[in-house]
Amino acid sequence: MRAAAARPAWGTEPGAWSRSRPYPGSLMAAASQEITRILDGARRRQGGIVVATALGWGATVVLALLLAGATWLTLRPDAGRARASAVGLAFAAATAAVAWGGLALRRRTGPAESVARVLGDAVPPLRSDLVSAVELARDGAGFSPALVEEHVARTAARAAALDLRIVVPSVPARRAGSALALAAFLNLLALAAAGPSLRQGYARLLGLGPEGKLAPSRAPITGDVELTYRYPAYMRREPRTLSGTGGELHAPKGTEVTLKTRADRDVREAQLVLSAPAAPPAEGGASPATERLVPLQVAAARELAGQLVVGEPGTYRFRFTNGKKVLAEGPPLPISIEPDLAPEVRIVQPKPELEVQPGAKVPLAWTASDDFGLGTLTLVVRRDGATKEERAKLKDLSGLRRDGGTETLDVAALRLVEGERIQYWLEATDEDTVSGPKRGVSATHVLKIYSEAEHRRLAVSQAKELWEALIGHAADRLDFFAQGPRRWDVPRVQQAQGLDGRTVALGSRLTEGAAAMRRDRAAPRELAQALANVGASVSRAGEDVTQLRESLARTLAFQRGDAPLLARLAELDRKLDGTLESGILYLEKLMDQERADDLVRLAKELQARRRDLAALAEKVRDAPTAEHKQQLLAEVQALRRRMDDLARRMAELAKGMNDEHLNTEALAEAAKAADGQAQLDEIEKEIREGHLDRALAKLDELGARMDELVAGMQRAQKRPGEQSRELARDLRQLRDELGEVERQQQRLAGETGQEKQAYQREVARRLKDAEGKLARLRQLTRDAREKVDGAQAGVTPRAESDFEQARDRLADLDRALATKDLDAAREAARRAALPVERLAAGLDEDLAMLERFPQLSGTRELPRLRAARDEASQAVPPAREVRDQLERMFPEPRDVLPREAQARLDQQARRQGDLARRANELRRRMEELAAKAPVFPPQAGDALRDAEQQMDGASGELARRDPQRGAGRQQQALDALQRFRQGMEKMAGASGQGQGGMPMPFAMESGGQEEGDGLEASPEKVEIPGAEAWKAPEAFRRDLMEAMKQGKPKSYEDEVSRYYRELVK
Amino acid sequence: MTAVLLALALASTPLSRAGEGRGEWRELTVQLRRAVHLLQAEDVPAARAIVEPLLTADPNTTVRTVAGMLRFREQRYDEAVKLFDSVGNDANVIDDAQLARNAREVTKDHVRVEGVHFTVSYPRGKDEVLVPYVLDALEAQRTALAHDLGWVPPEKVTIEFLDSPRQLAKMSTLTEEEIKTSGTIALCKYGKLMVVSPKALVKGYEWLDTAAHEYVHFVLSRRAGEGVPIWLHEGIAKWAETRWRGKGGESLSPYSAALLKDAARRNALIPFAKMYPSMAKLPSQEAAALAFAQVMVAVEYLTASAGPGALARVVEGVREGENAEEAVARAAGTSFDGFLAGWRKHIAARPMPAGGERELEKLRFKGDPKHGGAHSDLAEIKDEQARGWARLGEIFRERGRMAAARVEYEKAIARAGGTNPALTAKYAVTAIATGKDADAEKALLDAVRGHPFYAALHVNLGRIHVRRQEWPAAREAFLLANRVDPFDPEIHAGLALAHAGLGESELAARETKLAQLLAHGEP
Repeated sequence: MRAAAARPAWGTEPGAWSRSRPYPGSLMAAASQEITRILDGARRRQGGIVVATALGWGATVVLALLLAGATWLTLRPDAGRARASAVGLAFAAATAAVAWGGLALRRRTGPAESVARVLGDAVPPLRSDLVSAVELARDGAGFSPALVEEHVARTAARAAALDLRIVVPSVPARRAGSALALAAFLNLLALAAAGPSLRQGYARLLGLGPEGKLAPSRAPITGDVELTYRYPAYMRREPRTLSGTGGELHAPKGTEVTLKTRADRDVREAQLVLSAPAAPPAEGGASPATERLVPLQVAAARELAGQLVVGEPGTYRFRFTNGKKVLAEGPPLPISIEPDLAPEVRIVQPKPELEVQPGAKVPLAWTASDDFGLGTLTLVVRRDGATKEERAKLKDLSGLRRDGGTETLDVAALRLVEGERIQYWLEATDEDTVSGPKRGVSATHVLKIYSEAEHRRLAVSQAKELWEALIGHAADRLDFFAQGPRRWDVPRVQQAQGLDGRTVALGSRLTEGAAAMRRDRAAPRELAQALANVGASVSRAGEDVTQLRESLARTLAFQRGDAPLLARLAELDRKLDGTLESGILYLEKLMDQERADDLVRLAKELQARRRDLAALAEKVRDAPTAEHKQQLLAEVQALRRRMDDLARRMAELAKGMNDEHLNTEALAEAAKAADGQAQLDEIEKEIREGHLDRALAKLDELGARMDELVAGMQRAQKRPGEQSRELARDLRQLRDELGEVERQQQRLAGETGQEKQAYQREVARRLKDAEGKLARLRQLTRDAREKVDGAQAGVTPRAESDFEQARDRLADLDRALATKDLDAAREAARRAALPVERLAAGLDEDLAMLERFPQLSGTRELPRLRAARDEASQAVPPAREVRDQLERMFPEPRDVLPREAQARLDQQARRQGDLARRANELRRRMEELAAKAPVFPPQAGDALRDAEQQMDGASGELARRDPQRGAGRQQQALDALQRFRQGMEKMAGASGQGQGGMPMPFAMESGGQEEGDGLEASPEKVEIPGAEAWKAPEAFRRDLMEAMKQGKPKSYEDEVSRYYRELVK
Repeated sequence: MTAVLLALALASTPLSRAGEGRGEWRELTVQLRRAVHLLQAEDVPAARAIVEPLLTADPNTTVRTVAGMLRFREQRYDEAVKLFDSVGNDANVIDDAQLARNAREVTKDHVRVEGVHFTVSYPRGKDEVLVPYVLDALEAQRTALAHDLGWVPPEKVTIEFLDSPRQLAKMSTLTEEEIKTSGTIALCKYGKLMVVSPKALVKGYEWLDTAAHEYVHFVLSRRAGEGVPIWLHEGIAKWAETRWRGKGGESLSPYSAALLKDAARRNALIPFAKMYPSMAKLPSQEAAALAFAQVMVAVEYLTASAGPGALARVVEGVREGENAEEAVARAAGTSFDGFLAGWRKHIAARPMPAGGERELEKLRFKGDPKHGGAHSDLAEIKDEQARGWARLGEIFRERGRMAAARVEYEKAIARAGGTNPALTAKYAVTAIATGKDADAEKALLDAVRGHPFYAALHVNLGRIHVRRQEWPAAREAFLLANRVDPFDPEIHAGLALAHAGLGESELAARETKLAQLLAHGEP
């Protein structure tokens, strides 16, 4: 249909012409009028269409924009921009429509020519004629009138045949109308479908909604308001009256408010209109306010009073009425709620995560506060995996605003087992009787039951990390050296030095790791010790290699490296690799053993749990309660979890362990025994059904299974391999032989001691005789000191050191003589004579030089030096005399000891030499064993070497028939042997003393390896020292200060140096 | 046992047939007893000839029982079970009834592949890799035995591959414990060969020789019935198990040889009588190894002293009812004692394979905790210092530190002397990985001399040959590995390369398919 209407009805169809009527003749004016009429008709039609089109489309767009804006505001009531945007756009659309309409009207409905052109556009064959006819009709000058007339007449005739409905179609207007109808329909549909919410959106858009609507401005109708607040009782607040207020209410919920005010006119009735927003609307729409009326008492026509209870926030206003008629209404006055906050509670102690023993009583220090008053304090506990919380009221806080204290969390009552965790927190309530008590909750704390097994596992995993580092480094070294026999050159040495640095660092890391492990009391001691041993061995071997490699680096600067150096270096590298390798293997064994032990312990724990469960079941059978039954079931669940845990660990163990350290067959058998889930199911079922006798019988069966499990796990721990057995055997043998050497040394020392006593008796006798000479000796010593002191002014820099020594040692000598300690005096005299002699000689040389070269010194220096030389020279004879006399007082042993005694000393010297050789042999064997496994720290060898050296020394002294010195050296040898033996015994103890026990690492009692063990403090009571207790007794301090001046004994020199070296590190 | 039970069953039948003619019954009984005897002698075709007409004509309970036994031996397990079930409880006293049920259960998902003279039944999946090799080997063995013994059974023989020793125990009267203790890995019984798939073992085993070995038993049973004593049966089977790929008597391992020599020196040889009723009943794998070595060398001595036709003569003699010892003595041209004396001298004089001081490479079944875990190969190194280095090698290798691992393995081999094939194989892996192919090859060749059946050694040699594109050598190495551990996809991938390198495109395609099957579970 639309296609037919649009079909052109002009010139293309001859029929159209045949229907046209020829214009009658010569009346050009009439033709012109006809054309004008036609054009006017076209103009009017065109104008109507344009206006309708503009209005239609404009209104359509406006409606669409309004719908969009309303929808937006429905969804987002607070979207202020939406309204502005929608309204603005709608306005713009309307304006655009009007503008377009104006322009179109101007173009299409303007002068006749314009209309003719527009008409001509619709009928192209007529266009030119119509336009020219209009123009010629208006001014036809210059053309033949006849022709013009004819033309106008013909055109008029043709134009008259036009159907303006076709030529000026109304399609645009109809379309615009359709669009407008559609837009209107959509709006109506949306309003009907979306309901009130969209209507509200529309209302907001058009400024009619709650937000859009401006509250009518109301003038106050009352004067100042006096407010009296009566607070809820639980707040314990005094009533409060506020005068001269604007009427704004601000009070806690439940507060009773009395209002007094004066009306601005005479009134008969007045009321308060309370408005509170109703419950929030479901879809974000405005919440309609609910209103409640509170009557006011009117006195003296204008005095108003009334009461209300503060409930919800909102507004109220004064209203004057006359019956139902509202006479006046004041502006809304706000009612705001003063909040009653929830209590605050805090756990001050312990720290957020705490690990405790199963039977611990944990003090909980807490504080709580509330703005009005506290109610109760409750402890809440949630166990791991539990869905329900356990609550225990700790305290009634009786309305205090602030409180604090310490309560006790009895862990034993929770029946927690090793490794179990709980979360706990405190809850405090207030006493709000209006809205109900509010609850404040502390931060959640975690309490974990100390699990030795977990700590041990953690330690093993830390050890494993270190072990991996050891492996990585060993592999790096092997990679480096596996590149084949390459000549050492500077770059290669530098690469090797990089590795050496890492070796030393690794040694330190292992040592530090071992120290950290020792601080955990649960960490396997032997593993820590082994790590320490390996660390020390790696460090030492690394340092040796580093040193030699540095020598090589220096050598390479001027030659190719000499063969002995390279051979020695290769040897040290091999030794280091061996140290790393034996460390890796030994640590692996220890860790595997620890993991297997762990399983045995877990199995034993299961055994114990099963026993507990059986005991509990018996108890429940004798006194069945629902609570006991639940407890029993909980225990079954706990046992089930532990069994799962064991099964998982066993599977891991079977995968991760070296076969050599695990009996897989026994482990598989044990795994079967560990699968007791079916039995547990049955036990649980019997308990639930109340058949406790049957449950107990099944628990007995489970017990038998547990026994099998433990036995299986013990079998799964393989005995150590042949090498380990051999090593353990060798270690035992070494220990036994050392014990034998020590016993022999003790016996020999006893024999030497007898000779020493005989000698000392003789010496004592002689010294007693010599005591009379002490005064003279002291005098000589004082003389020497004076002379030395006298030389001080002229002492040259070169002689300064001798001067100091001479002075100090003479002072020592004097003190020894004063205390009649002749032995010490002899030693001091020996040590003093030398520096005195060196001082005199030195000054003499310096004097001679200055005399030869006087220009080297000032004029006053030479006499001072000469005087000093003289003084020093005079000190020499008395110092020598004291020394000689003291030496003479101590006879040579061979001079005083009888011949038989000397023969015995000879024999003892030989035996002592034999013992030294045996010690040497044992040390070498120990080193061989250490190369197989790092059971010894490097210091162990030092102790044996020390013993050996002391034995050698003792042998020499005895050969010189000096039982006194010999005995001293023997004692030191014994000390070193004992130190070593104690380490061995400890190691044997850790190995279980059995014939096939795994060789455990050796721990030196001294030598810097044992550090604080990090164990918990002893439960023994200790006396707390007073404030002054740190001060040492005065006498002791004096002695100490004196002793410090005397220098260190020779035998302690090494120790003291080592101490300072450590200190500097 | 079966015979006794069957006799009891037959004896009870007349009560139910009181009304029938006794003569007719007697005749039926005779025929059925004959059929049972033939079945026990593994002569299924002859038994079939008796039972089938009876089953058609008169399928009474006794006939159905014997027919069940027949169907069981024809591997028609469903029918066998139906027949036994139709008999009722009486059939349950016969081992075959339970065995048939077990066989049906075990083989229900088996795939059957038909060869010319053999049918392979295997569990669906990776065991497909066994089929072409076992068919080729058995056909070759059949040809060789036809030559050596002068006769082979005309009928098609079924070989069933089983997943585990447990399945073998279910399919036979042996217990799993007996199988694992003695190392019995295959059986020839009930008219078929039952072989445990090499996938059930940690390192595989000589499965093709084993299949060939069992086929020898089958041929001997069919040819000479029950007259061949166990020692001779096993001796011939052991001697002939390598005939499919070469001469007889090549299967004496260095360890077995040393064991034999030592036992002979100590006069501690196992008497032949103690080998009855089965080698599988011997107390240990060591005892079984010694027994096999004894009987194999006995047959070797027989063939060496009496010529290549001796075996055929002995088998024919026994078949004709001659006592086996007499037949042996006759074939050897001496008395049996003389034969034994000559055999002992032969043991003393025989050059034995080198490396006999090594330990028996026991069969290690997967999933059996008694057979150790991942590191148990190295745990067998006796020297603890060497074992320590080997362990270090493992530690480094597991962490990808190949050069370091190689150094440690080298030290271990230097100390332990390369007696442990696992150690050498691991060393080779690290040496190849670090470009030390020549060192690896040398170590591998040394180890192969002592451990010719250790697949990993051949695989590593194969790797080296592939890298050098030495295709014939690579093919040989991988085929040797395949004889032991065919489930290693690398073997087939290597074979595919080698065949392709040699222009054997069909074989290359087959091996590619097998490699993909093993690696991804599908071709």
